[in-house]
Amino acid sequence: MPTTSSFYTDLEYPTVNQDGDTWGTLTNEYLDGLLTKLKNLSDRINSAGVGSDSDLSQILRDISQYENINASIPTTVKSLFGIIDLKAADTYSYATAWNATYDSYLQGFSLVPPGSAAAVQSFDYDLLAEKLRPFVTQAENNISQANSDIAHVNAILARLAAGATLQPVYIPIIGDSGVSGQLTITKNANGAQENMSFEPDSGDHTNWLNATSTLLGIGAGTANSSDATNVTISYGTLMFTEDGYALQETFSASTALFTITELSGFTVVGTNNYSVPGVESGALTDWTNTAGLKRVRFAFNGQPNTGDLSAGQSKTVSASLRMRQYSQRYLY
Amino acid sequence: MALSDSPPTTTQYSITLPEVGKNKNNWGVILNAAIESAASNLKNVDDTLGDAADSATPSLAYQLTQAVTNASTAASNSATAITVSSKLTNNALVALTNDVNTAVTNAATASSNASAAKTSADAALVLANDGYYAAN
Repeated sequence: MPTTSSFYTDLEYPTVNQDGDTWGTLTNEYLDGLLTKLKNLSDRINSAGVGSDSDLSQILRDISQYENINASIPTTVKSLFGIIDLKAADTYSYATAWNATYDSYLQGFSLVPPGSAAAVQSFDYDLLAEKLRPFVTQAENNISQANSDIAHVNAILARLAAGATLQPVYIPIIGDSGVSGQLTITKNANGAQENMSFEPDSGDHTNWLNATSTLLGIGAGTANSSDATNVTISYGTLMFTEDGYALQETFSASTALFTITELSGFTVVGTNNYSVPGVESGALTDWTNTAGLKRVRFAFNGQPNTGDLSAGQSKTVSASLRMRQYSQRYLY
Repeated sequence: MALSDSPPTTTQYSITLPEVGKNKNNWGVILNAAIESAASNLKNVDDTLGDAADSATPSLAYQLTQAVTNASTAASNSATAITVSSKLTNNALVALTNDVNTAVTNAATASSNASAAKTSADAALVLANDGYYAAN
């Protein structure tokens, strides 16, 4: 009766003083079985540990990659957040509060500093960004405003460095609000001259005419010209020529420059000798001091002349004029 | 290769064994040779595995031991890396709120200073113009 191996129960070897007829077969089978197991073991060892394709090699590669990841995670986080020094693990601790300015505000949105690895992983970073964004925007707006102000300061510094240049300077005048009212056109008895008197409907009228007359250097109380091509502003009365010219010649003797800020009821017209100023409603338009600027002419809209009037007859139109004086000075 | 062959050979390694009923005068030689051959193959496997202390070669046994150690170290390092990273993240997030607060404060200060500088520059320009006009 063969003896079962103590180590491999599927192996049997001959029993001493027994198996007289089968001991050779038993021995051969035992050796064959043992060598089969040895071969199997050899194959498994080779598969596990020998060669670049072995399990051990793969494990070592995995460990190497694992360590690379281990090493890179903190340094990546360090780089991500701009941390200068990467210290030992026990050097760091979990902070439990945000900056005091935002702590209660952020906690109001259930945003607390993550206090564990799991909390870090589940932290709502987008929500934190969303709640901090208004403050960043506020800072950006302030910086933008600061940059704008700095640019303004730099522009002034540049102007100071560049030196003074000739620039227009607008000078508010009395009656800057203008004059408006009704103009009555009357044909003289001789039929050669039509005088138009301005009937003001506002208290600014007198002031405006007075100030304008003064600024134009014609003084108050100047009578209207008998020359049909020249009219002046007289105190309390705005005179026009037959063909509707007004204020012509008034700038010929003046060094002041004007801009028209409002014009209604009149139309600015010009002839060969006249430079026509620009008119822009609601905005100051430079009436530049170009050569040839001698007179300014205005015509009544729809009332080019009084040819349809008989001597002594009158017609009335509404008109308003708003002007602003400016001069040129060397300024930085 | 089989035990049923004549002479019989082992399934693995093809070692010749004594043939039952034969090899009357040399079965012992054949058996001894077979045992020795089996020992040789065992020795090869033994050598392949090697001594766990053999770091010079290094042996497979040593490499396995090292792999276990390295894996353990890697696992420990991983835990450390996660802890450090999460603490760094925590610290960085808190620092972020500090930075935002500092930026907001500094931006407000910069805006205020710039506004004051603008006012001063405007005043300086007026003074410069007045001075130029008075001098000329």
